[in-house]
Amino acid sequence: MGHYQPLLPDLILAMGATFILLLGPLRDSQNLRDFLRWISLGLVAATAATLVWVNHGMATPYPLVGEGWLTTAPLHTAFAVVFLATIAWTILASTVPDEDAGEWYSMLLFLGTGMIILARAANLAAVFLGLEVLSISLYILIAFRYSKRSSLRGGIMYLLLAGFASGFLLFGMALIYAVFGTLQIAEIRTLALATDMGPMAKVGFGLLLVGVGFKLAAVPFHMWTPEVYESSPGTVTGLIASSSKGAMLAAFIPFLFLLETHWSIIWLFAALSMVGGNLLGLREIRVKRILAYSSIAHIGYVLTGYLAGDTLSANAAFLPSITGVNAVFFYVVAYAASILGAFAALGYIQGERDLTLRDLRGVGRRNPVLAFCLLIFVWSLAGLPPAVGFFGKIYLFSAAINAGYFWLPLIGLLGSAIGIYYYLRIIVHLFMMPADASDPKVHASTLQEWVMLGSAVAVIALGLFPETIFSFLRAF
Amino acid sequence: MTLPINEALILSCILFSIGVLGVVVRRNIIYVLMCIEIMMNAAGLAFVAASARHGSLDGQAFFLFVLPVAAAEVAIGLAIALLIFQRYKTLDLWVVARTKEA
Amino acid sequence: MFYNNGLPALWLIPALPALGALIIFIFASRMPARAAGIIACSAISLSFLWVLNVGTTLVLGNHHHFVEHHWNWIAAGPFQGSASFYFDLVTFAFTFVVAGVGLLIHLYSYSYMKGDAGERRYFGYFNLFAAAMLVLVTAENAFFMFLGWEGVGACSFFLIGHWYQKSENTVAATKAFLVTRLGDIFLLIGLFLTATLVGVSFSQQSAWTQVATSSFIPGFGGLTGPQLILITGICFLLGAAGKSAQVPLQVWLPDAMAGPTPVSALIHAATMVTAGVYLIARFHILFALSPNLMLAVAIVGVLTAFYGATSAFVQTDIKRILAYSTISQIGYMFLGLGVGAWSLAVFHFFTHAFYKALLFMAAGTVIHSLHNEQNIYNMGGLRTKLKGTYLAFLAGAASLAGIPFITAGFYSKDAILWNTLSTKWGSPVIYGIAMLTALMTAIYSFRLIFVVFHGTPRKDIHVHLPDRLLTWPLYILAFFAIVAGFLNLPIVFGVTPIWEHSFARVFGEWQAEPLIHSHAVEWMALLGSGVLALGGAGIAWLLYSPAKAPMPEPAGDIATVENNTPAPYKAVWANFLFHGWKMDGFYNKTFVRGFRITSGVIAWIDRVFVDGIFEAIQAIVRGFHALVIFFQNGRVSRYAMVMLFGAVAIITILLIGSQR
Repeated sequence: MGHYQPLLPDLILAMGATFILLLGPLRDSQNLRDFLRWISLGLVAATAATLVWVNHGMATPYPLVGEGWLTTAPLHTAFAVVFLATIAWTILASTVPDEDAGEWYSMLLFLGTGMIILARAANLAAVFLGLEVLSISLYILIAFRYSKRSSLRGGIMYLLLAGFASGFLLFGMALIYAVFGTLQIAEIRTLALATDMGPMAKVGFGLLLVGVGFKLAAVPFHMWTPEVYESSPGTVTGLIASSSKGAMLAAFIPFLFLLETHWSIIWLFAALSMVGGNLLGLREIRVKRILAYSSIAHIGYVLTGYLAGDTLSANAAFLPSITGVNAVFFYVVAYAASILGAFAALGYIQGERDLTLRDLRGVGRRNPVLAFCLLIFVWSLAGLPPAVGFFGKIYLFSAAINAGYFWLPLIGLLGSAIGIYYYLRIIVHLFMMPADASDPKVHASTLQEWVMLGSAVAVIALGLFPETIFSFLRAF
Repeated sequence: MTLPINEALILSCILFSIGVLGVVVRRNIIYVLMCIEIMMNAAGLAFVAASARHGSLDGQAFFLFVLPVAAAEVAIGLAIALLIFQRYKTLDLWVVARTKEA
Repeated sequence: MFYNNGLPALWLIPALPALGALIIFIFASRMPARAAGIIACSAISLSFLWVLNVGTTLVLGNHHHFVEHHWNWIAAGPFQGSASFYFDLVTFAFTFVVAGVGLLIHLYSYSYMKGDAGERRYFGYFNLFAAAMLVLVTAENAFFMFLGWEGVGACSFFLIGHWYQKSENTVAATKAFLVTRLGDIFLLIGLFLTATLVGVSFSQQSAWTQVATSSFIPGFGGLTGPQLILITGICFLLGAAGKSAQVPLQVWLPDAMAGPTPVSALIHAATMVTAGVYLIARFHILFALSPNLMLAVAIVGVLTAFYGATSAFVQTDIKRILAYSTISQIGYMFLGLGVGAWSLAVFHFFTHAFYKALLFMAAGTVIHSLHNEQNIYNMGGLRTKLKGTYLAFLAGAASLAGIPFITAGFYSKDAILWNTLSTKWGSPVIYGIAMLTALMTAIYSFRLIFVVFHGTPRKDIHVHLPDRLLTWPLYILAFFAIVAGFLNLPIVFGVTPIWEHSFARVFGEWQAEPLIHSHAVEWMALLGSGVLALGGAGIAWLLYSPAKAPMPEPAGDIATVENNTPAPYKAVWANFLFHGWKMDGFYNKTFVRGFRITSGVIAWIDRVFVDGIFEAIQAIVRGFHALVIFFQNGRVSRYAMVMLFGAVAIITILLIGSQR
C-alpha cells in the first residue's frame, strides 16, 4: 500500500457501495432497509475517519498521492468531509420504498465517492472520473421514482445535458493536454503562468469552464435546474444543489490561477447568475422551482467570493483574515446546511401535482415542527441574521470587496434584496395563509423530524458562532 | 509511422462540432445520446493525437477512462429511454417536454 | 456557578424569572393553565430569596457594591457594553421591591387571573417582565441596562394589551409603547453621549467631574463640558419622563390601566414606572454637576406631582384615580432627585411601591368582587362586606395621604418636602406647591375611602367574596405600608435615620445637606405636613361623607384615548381636570395632527415619485423575467442551444481578449 494508502477512503466507499448494491435484492423488508441504512451510514463514517486519518500530518501544499491523482491539501480534505456529511444526512433524511433500498443507498454512496474524488482531484483525469461517477449516480437518483413520468423526464434531461456539458469539458481537457502535454493541474498551472497563453489553451480552458458552469448551474448553463430540481426526490435535489455543486467548486480551486486570464468569464457567470437567478424566481409559484432559481443566484454569490482567490489582500478593508476560498468553504457549508433541509422538508409535503405555494398553506398548523424548520432554512437562504446564511454572504462579499471588486458585491446585494421577496412568500404561505379545503399531507417519520430539527438548530447555532466553521477548517 | 497530429486535431474538432450540432438539432433521445458519444470520442481522438505529439502515454490512458465512463452513461441513458418509451410512447424530446401529467 | 469567591452570583436574580418565562412559553400548549401560574410564582420567589441572600451579604459584609462580569456584549470603540451585573444598596432597594412586591403580585394574580383565556401568556409575560426589570436594575452599565429598559417596555405593551380582543386595549397599549419610545430615543442619545464622554459603566460616572471642568472637548463642535452635561442630562430626563410618566410625557399612564389590575399594580405602580427614578439616581453625579439640570428635574417633579393630584381629584374610575396618583407620587420622587435628596427619592420609591401596589391590588379585589365594576360612584358601603380589604385599603390610603407618625408615606414624603425647603437646590416656591399637592393628595385618598367603602351601596350588586390569595398579599403589603417608614425616622426624633445613613455610602458627597439646621423649623415643617394630611382627610369627610348628598352623579365611563367621553361634570374646570388637563386633546391637535399632515405630504411624494421609480423598476424586472422565462420551456435541444451560445460567447470573449 504505502504510497496508495491515501486512496483508501475512496476504495472503502466504492467497495461498500458495491456491497450494498449486491445486498439490496436479498429481501424486501423493512428490517433489511433499516440495516442497509445504518450500514451505509457506518460506511460514510468510516470513510470520513479514514480520510482524516490518512491525511493527518501530510499537510504540505498540494502533495500528490497515487501517482498524482489526488491532493491531500487540508482545504480539500475538509471539503470532502463536508460532502460525506451531506451524504450521511441524506441517508438519514430520505424516504425510500423497502424494495429499492439497496439501490438507493448504494447510489448515494457512489455519489459520495464521486464527490470526494472530484473534491480532491489533482489531475484532469481525476476531475473527469470524479465528475462522471458523481453524475452517473445522480442520473439514477434523479430518475429513481421511475413510475412517475416527470421523474423520467427530469432524469433524461439531466443525463443528456450533463453528457453534453461533459463533452465540452472533455474536449477542453484534450485541448489543454494538447498544449501543455501534462494532466497534472499543478504543472499546467506552472506552464500556463510562465508563458502567454495561446488561443488553443484559451479555448481549452473556456470549454472547461462550460463544463464547470453547467455543473454549477451558472447562467447561461442553468436551464436544466428548474425541471430537474422539480422532478427529483426532495433529498436528491438538496444534494444536487449543495454538495454536487460544492464538489465542483472544490475541484476548481487548483484552477484558480485562471483568474489571471479568465476572470471576466467568472465575473460574468457571477453577475448573470445573481441577476438571473433572482429575477427568474419572482413570479414562480412552484416552490421547488423557486429554490432552484434561488440556487442559481447563490452560485453567483459563491463565484463572487471565488474572484477574491486564495490570497489575502494587503489593503483589505473588511474582515481581512478571510480569503475568498475560505469564504467559499464557509458558504458551501452554510448553504448545504440550509438547502438540504429545505428540499428535504419540501419532499415530505405532498403536493397536488407539482408542489406549489398554495400547497404549503396550513402546513404551519398541521406540522409546526417541520414548518418551523423550513422557516429557519428559508430564513438562512434569504441571508437574514442570525441564520448562518447571513454570515456566508458577508464573508463572500467582503472578500470580493477586499480583492478590489465593487460592482459585483453591489449586484449581489441588490439581487439578495429582490430574492428576499420570494423567500418571504414561502414563509407567508406556510404560516399566514388560511389552509385550503383539504389539509396538506405531510409524511415525515419521527427520525426525519429529529434530523430536520437538528439541522435547523445547526443553522442557527452556526449563525451565532460562525467561527466554528473556520476552526473546523483549521483542524485539518 | 508518424501520425499527422495537426490533421488529427482538426478532425477531432470537426467531429466535436458534428456532435454538438447533433445534440442541438436532434429531438430523438437515441440520436442525442449518439451525438454525445461522438463528442466524447472526438475528445478521445484529440487526447490520443496530443499524446503522440508529446510522446507521453497520459492522454491514451485518459482515453481508457473515457471509454467505460461513456459506456456507463449510455447504458443509463438507454435504460431511461426505454422507460420513457414505455410511458410516453415516443422518444421525441419535444413531445416528452410538452406532455403534462403525473 | 452560584458563588464567586464566596459571594453570591448576581446573574441568578434575573435568570430565574427568565427561565420561568422560557419554560412557560415553550411548554405553553402542553401544560394545564394553572401550571403556568405555579411556575411563574416559583421562579419569582426563588429570585426573591436570592435577592435576600445577595442583599444580606452586601449589608452584613459592609460592601460598597458587587460586580460580576460575564461576557462582552457590545464592544465597538467607546461603546463597551458588557453583560455584567452590579449590586449596591440602590440595587438592593429596587430588586427587593421588584422581586418581593413582584412575588406578592404574582401570588395575587394566580387567583385573579384564574379562568382567563390567556392565563399562560399572562404569566409568561409577567415573569419575562420581572426578568427584564431585574436586568434593568442589576446591570453594570447603561447599555445592558437599556436591554432591560426596552424589555420592560415590550412586556408592558404585551400586558396592557392582554385583553387584545377589545380594540381600546390595543390602542392603549400602542399609545403607552409609542410615548415611552419617544422618551427612549432621547435616552439613547444620552447613552451615546455618555458612552463617548465618560463610558457607560456605572463605575466610570465620576469622570463627569472632569467633563464639567473642561472647556473644550474634541469632536463635539465646540460645545463645552457643562453644555454637554446639560444636553446629556436633558436627554436622560426626557427618557426618564417617558418611562416614569412625567410631564410632558405622562399621557400614556392613565390609559395603561386597560391591562389587568395586577399588571397595573406591578408595572404601572411599583416597578417599571419608577425606572426613571432609578436612571437619574444612577447618574446622580451627572445631574448634580449642573444646577440648571437639578432645577429642571425638580420642576418636572413638582409640576407632575401637582398635575397628577389635581387630575386624580376628579376621576370617577378607581384605577384612573390610582394611576394619576402614581403619576403624582413619582413626581415627588423626581422632586426628591431634583433637590439632591437621592436616597430619599429611592426611599419614597420604596414606600410608594408598597402602598401603591397595595392600593391597586385592593382596588382589584373590589373590582373583582363587584364583577368588573370600576366606577366608584357605583360602589359604596363595601366596608362591611369586604372588611379585610377595607382595612388594607385604609392603610394604603393613609400612607398615600401621609397621615402623620404612623404611616410610611408620611416619613418618606415629608423627608422630601423638608429637603425641598432646606437644601441648596430647593426653593420655597417649589416647597409651597409641593405642600399644596400634599393636601390634595390627602383629599383624594380619603375621597376614595369614603365613596367606595362608606355609606350604603349605590347599586344593588352582588358581592363576590375574594379568596385568600386575593387578600393575604394585601395584608402583607399593608404591614409594610405602615412600618417601612420606620427605616428612616427624621433626625429630629433623636434617632439616626438608618436609610439615609446607609445610602450615604452610595451617594456620598453628592447627597444634599440641609442648610437649615434649626430643629424648631424642622419640627414645624414636619407638623405642618402632618396637619395638611389630617386636614385633607377632614375636608374629604366634609365633601364626600355619606351623610352628604353624593357628589354629582357622573354619567360617563372612563375617558378613552380620544377624549370623546361625555364630560361627567357640569363645571368646565372639573372636566378639564377629568381629562388630565386635556393633554391628550392638546397633543392630538398639535403633534398628532401635525404628524398626520407631514406624513400626508411625504406619502404624496412617496406615491408620485418614489413609487413611480419602483414601478418602473418593477416593469423592467418583469420584462426581463418574461424574456428569460421564454427560453425555459423544457425542451432539451433548446437548452443545449442556449448552452452552445454560452460556450461560443465565452470563447469569443476569451479570444478577443480581456487581460486584467
